[in-house]
Parts: sequence; structure tokens; C-alpha cells
Amino acid sequence: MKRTGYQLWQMIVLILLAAAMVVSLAAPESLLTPPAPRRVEISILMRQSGTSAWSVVRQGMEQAAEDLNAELRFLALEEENNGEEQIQLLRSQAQMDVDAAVVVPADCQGLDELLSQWKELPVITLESPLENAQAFVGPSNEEVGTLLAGQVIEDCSPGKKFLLVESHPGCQGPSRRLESTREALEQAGFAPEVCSEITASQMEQADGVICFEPATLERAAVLASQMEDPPLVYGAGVSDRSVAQLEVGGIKALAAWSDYASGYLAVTQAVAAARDQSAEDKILPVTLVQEGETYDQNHEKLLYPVFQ
Amino acid sequence: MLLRALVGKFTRSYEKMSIQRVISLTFTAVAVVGVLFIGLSLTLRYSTVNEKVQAQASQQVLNQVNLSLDSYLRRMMRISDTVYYRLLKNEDLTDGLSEEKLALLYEENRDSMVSIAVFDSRGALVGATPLAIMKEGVNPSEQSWFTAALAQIENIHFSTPHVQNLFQSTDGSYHWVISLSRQVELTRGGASESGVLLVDMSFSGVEQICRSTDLGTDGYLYVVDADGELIYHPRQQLLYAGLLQENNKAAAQLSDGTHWETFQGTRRQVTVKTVGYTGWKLVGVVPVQGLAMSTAQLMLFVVSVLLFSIFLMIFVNGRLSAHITQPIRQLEQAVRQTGRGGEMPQVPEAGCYEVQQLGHSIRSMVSTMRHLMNDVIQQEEDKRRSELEVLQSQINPHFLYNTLDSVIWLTESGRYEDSIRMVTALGRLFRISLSRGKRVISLESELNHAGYYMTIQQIRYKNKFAFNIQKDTPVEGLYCLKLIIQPLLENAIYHGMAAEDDDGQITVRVWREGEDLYIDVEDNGLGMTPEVLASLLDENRPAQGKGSGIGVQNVHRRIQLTYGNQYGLEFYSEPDEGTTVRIHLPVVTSPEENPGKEEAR
Repeated sequence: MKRTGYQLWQMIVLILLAAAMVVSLAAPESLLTPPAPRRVEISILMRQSGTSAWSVVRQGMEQAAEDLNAELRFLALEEENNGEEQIQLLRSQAQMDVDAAVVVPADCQGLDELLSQWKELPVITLESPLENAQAFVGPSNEEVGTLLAGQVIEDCSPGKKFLLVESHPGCQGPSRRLESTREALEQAGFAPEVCSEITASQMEQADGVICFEPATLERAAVLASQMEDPPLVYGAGVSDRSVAQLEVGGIKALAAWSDYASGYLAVTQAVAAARDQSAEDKILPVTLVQEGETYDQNHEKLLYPVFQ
Repeated sequence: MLLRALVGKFTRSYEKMSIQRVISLTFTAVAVVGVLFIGLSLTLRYSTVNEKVQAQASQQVLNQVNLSLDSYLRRMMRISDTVYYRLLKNEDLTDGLSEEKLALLYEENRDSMVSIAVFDSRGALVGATPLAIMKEGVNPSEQSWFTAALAQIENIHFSTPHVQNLFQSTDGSYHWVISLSRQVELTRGGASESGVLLVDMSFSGVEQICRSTDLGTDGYLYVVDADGELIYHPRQQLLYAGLLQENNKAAAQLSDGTHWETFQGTRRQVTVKTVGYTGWKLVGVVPVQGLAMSTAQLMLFVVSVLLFSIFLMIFVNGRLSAHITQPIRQLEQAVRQTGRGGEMPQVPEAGCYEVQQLGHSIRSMVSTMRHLMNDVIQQEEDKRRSELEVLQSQINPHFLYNTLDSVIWLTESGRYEDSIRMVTALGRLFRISLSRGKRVISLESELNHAGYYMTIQQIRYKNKFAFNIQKDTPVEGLYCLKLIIQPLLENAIYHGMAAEDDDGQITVRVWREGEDLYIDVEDNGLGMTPEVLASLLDENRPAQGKGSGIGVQNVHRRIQLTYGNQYGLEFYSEPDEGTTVRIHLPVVTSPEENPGKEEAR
């Protein structure tokens, strides 16, 4: 009786092992490999839309979303640079099962105050670092300002009049660039003036204009191109028009960084935060490109995205 | 030390193991080693074949891409040939290039090119389409495609991807192009001079050809020039942004074929194919994880197969070893049983040849032992029987003395008739006792012997008891051991009749039941208590009064030694009632026959 039971167990084990063998051969690979990471939804909240710089950022974001199994929601403000609307939009995203958000802050102070007490959604910022955001992706704003100031000091003597354009005081990133530039110029003996908006008349009276974000830089370059004796124009950020002006000398020098990389890394960090992994600041390298250098091999890759 | 202890432990375990377990474990161990070896060999073989298949698949993909790319580049070369040989070679360009024909050629191929331009040897534009206004400050003669064309005039040159920076764009857009350049001969005013023909191919044309490749889930294809500079990569922008690295410099050094590399911790199969004429290399990359069957799945399958095979081996070996060793185990049990004594077991002769032979030998040995033992027993029995018979055949001297004394007394007292009768009975008694040395005599003679004995005793005891023989069965033709009734009669007289007056009665009754013969010796004497009755056949019983009972025991032992233990004496007695001693014998119809003993054997 005992022997029969033993043989029965042997037969059962044998059948189970045979079944395991068949299953291991027939089972689809998906059962044996770790499951793909959960698909996450990321909201992208811009402060401006429609710029060529933004389209490159977007390409980088979409590439990261494809690589990391994420779905992106691009949300534009009805009124550009409206901080309150942006905050309301961000709040609404939390109620729509969005996992994380990438924000180009329109009102840094307001957004930072919100994030200090509102933790429903991990937020990654572009352009402006916020104390209470999960992470920041972008160039070092201080470095951008310092590089631009350094180029101005190299090109001009301290007696020249320079205008520093602060078109969006609520944006911490451009503001920091401006502050860095001003500090460096003042230390070099310059007496730069800060203006909130650039006009043709202001430009006519200045020897040089420094802009700290692409949209303002484009406008300054266009105004300069219409003048007989235009001032030197310096700026930060890459866009089609600014690069075209840089090529023809409408812009004297440009502090550039990879918008494609910033978009890619912003979504990468947002996905990490959405999956409860640590998100960290990513500081992008900044390159100063002077007029006529746009087709240098390295600058070319930075200024002209391959896939449009 | 540890090894010695392990060896010792193994040896002790081995010595305690059954042969079935030893065979089973040995077979299983060997089979497991074999299965593992075959399993690992097959796994390695499978992996190798899998890699080869993947390599072939990559090679096929690369060949297809190479064909497409080659076709694309040849098309561009044909265009340059057309421009050169149809528009430039035999035309005097003093009045300029026929841009109409150039535009027509461009329109036919605008899906894959950005512009066609002709420059003289100083870099001045001779003609171009569709963008005819050059950018200010641009000097083509300083550009690499221009210098390369004039440096090696017999070749057609292909550049790496770059942004076209020669012509003004009406919409501010820019184009990534791959430049085809070649030296051309220009005729102006009858004089010939060198120039450079530039065909800017659209980078998207190359991209479309390379993008539509399938190298598995994680595989991809990229293109490098002879120096390792990237021409195309599916993640080109990430590479340009510095977020990704590629092993393109090393790939450029590889020859055509399949290679293995480890890049950034990932082992990858790299297949290289050189594009004719350009020196570009198509590089197919397949990470190991992307090969047909994943490592996890393969390993799970191999482990399942090995586990199944090993357990199957254990199972089958267990059954087989049990089957093989069963005759040996039966043999061992039979030998062990033989060693314990008792009934001789049947020794099996089964299994394979050697085991059969062993069984046969043991069987023969056991049979020989059995015969030898029977012979020894027989000899012992014969010896014992002979001793008993010698003892039995000896005439009690007291009986002879008393009988002769009685004869003297009868003669002196003139009772000659009784004297003659007594002497006659004594003589016949002796003659039957001798019976020419036979052990078995006819039942008739044995009864007569009893009668002669009782005749003598009746005269001696002055007819104190009566005696008669009652034959319920015809006794003719029946045989029995001799001298088996007389000792019982002697006991009946000494212990039953000695104290009786003249009413003693001794009866010998003979009857047959089937194949059994019974002879009862009955007396109506004092009888016996159950204790005495139970001790009658006890050889250690102390002697009591006249006779020691040895005669009774002698008869019982002789019967059992001759016919077997199922025969012998039985006693029935009641105090003051009398005693019956029953002799149980087999029916024997021949002096040579011994049925009881044959059965017992």
C-alpha cells in the first residue's frame, strides 16, 4: 500500500514536470519577462506656445514618451504667460488622473507657493527652477547670464549703453539670467539698464541689447534688422528666426543649449517621479555661438535639429 | 580530513545499501551527468544557432538596405552624370548654364534632392536650381565637398550630413543634406576649365531607406562613413544632444560580417555591411536580449527539461533496477531463510543469465544439503531405532528366571501339562522375538507373540487374570513392527493386575479405520491419575516400582521413528477403572512397505 502511494506520487511529480516543460516552451515570452513599466500620463503646461523653440522641446518630449511608455498631454494657456490660469490648469490635471506634470512656469512665485503645500502631482519645471518642484531641467541660468556678459565685455568697452530686456518678470529663469548679466557687466564697469519691453526707439538709443528668452530675442533681432545703425543684439535660447539672424549678423552672439535635450530630460524626470522614483535636476551645458559660427560642426547639430 | 570523513561516510552508506539502490543510484548518477552534458551542449548549440540565425537575418536586412541605399546613391550619381554629360560636357557656358534643363532634371527628382549647383574652380556659382541666390559671405571653395572634388577628380564624393548653407532660403527653412560632389570640365569661350558639380541629396531620403528596417524589438541600424562619422542613426538627435552614445568609431573599423561587442555594459551582436563606392558602413545592432528566444525563457525551458529528464531517470531506473534485482533479492531471501533453518524454501531460478546460474547453483547446493541432512537424520533415526530394537529384543533376565523357576516348580509338583505348555510358549516366544532379524513381522505373529507371553504369565500368576485377543478386522496380510504389544502387556500385568484378585481382565483388540490400524491393550486394573498418564512418555520420568516405563517409551519411539510422528501410543485411563493403551499404526500390507514415514518425509 505504502509502495503504491509512493509510485503514485512519483507519477504525479513526473506529470507535473512534463507539464512544466511544455508550458515553458509554449508560454509566450511576455509571461517570462518582467512586465513593461506602467504607462503614465504626463501633462505639459507651457507659458507660451507656437514658437519654433517649443517645437524642438516637444520633439524631445515625444521621443522620451515613446521610450518610457508615457502619454503626453500638451496644454496651452488661453492667455500666454497667465500664471493664475496655469495654476488652475495644473490643479485640474491632478483630478484627471495625470501622474506628473512638466511646467514652464509663467508665475514662478505663485507656482512655488502652490507647490509648497500642494503635493498631489509631481511637477518638473523647465526654464525656471522652483524650490518646491520635484526637479528642474534646463541650463544654468547664472551661467547663461555670465556667458552673455562675458561676450559683451569682450566685444564692447564699458562706456557703451546696454539694455537688459526683462519681458517676463514673473519668470525666474530669465530673471536670473538677467541678474547674472547685470552683475557681471556692472563689475566690468558697464551701466546696463533694465527695460520690460523693447521698442525701436529704445534700441536706437542703445549700443547693445541683451534678451534672455527666445521670443524677446526674435523681436529685438527683427527691430535691429530694420534699423540703419542697429545696436548689437545678444540673447539666450534657440529659435529658427534667432538662428537665422545669428547667421546673418542680426544677432551678435547667442547662448544656446539643446531644447531637444531639455524636453527629453524633462519627461524622463517626470516619468521617474510618476513611478515613485527619484527625480533630479538636470543642468544642460550652454554654448555661446557667435555670428557666422552657426555652421560649425558642433554648433550645427545644436542649432539645426535633424528631424523637423 | 574532511574528504576522508566523507569517503568513510559514503563507504558505510554504500555497504548498507541494497543492490537495487546501488544500481538505481549509479544509473541515475550516470544518466544525470549525461543529461546535463547533453542539455548544456544542446543549449550552447541552440544559442549558437540562434545567434547565427539572427546574424543571417541581420545580414539579410542589411543587404536589403544596402541595395536600396546603393540604388538611391546610384540614382544620384546618374543625375550627376546626366548633368555633367548632357548639360555641361559639350556646352559652352559663356552665356551661362541652361537652368531650364537643370530645373527639369531637379523637378523629376525633387523628392530626393534639395539642389543641383555648378561652381567654377574658384567657387563662383555657374548655375543652380532651385535656389539660385547664394548667401552673402559664403565661399564654396573652402567647403570640404568642394576641396575633395578637386583633390580627387576621378571620384565622386559623398559628404556626411550637414545643413546646406549655400543658398538663401525664401521661407527661412534649412535643409540637412548629404552632398554629392565631383569635378567637372567646364567650357567657356572655347576654353576648358575645372569646376565642381554639387548635388545636395535630401537627408530624409537616406533616413527613409534606413528607418524602415526591422532588426527585432531592440535592434536597429545606423550608418557611418569610413571615419566613423554618423550618417544616419534612428536616435540621431539624442546623439547630437549628448544624451546618448554610440560605438560608431569602433564600428567603422570592423570588417563586413558579424561581430560581438560590449558597449555600455550591453552585449550586442553587430553586423556590418559596406556600401559600395561610398565606403559607408551599414551597422546592424541587436542586443543579446533581443535575440529570438529570451535568455529567461531558454533557461526556464532547459531547467524544465533537465528536471523532467532527471526525475524520469530516477523513476525509470528505480523500476528497472527493481526488476533486475528482484531475482537476486528472492535468492537472498531464500538463502537467508535457509540459514534460519526450518522448511527449506523454493530457490527461484529467474532473471538474467548470471542470476539464473547463481540460483541454479544455490538450488543444487540446497538440494545436496537437504539430501545430506536427510541422510544424517535417517542415519540418526536408524541408529536410534536399532538401539531401541536391540534394547527391546533383550529378554528380561527376571522374566526368563521366573519362567524357568515356574517350569521347575510345575515339574516338581507334577503338573507336567502346564510345564510343557509353558516351555512351549517360551520357545515360540523366543522364535517370534528373533524372527530371523526382521523388524517388521505379520500382525498375526505379533498377536501370537502376545498370546505366548500372556500364556506364560497366566501360568505364573495362577490365572489371576483373563486374557483374550479380539480381532475386529481380519489381520491376514497385515504387518507391523515386532514386539510392540508385549511391553504394553507387561505394563498392564505389573501395574494393573498385580494387586488384583482373580477377576483381572486384559484384552487386546485390533481394528482398522481406513488406512489406520489400531491395537488397544485394555486392562481393568488400578488405572492412573492424569498426572501419571501425562508423564508416561516423558523420558526424564523417574522410575516407579517394577519397570521404569522404558518399554512403553521404547515402543512409542520405535513406532514414530519407523512411521512418523503422527503414529505412536495413546493412553486412556481412569483411576480404579482401568487403562487402555492404543497403538496407532498405518495399515501395512508388505514387510518392506513404510507408508507413514514416506508421508512424513
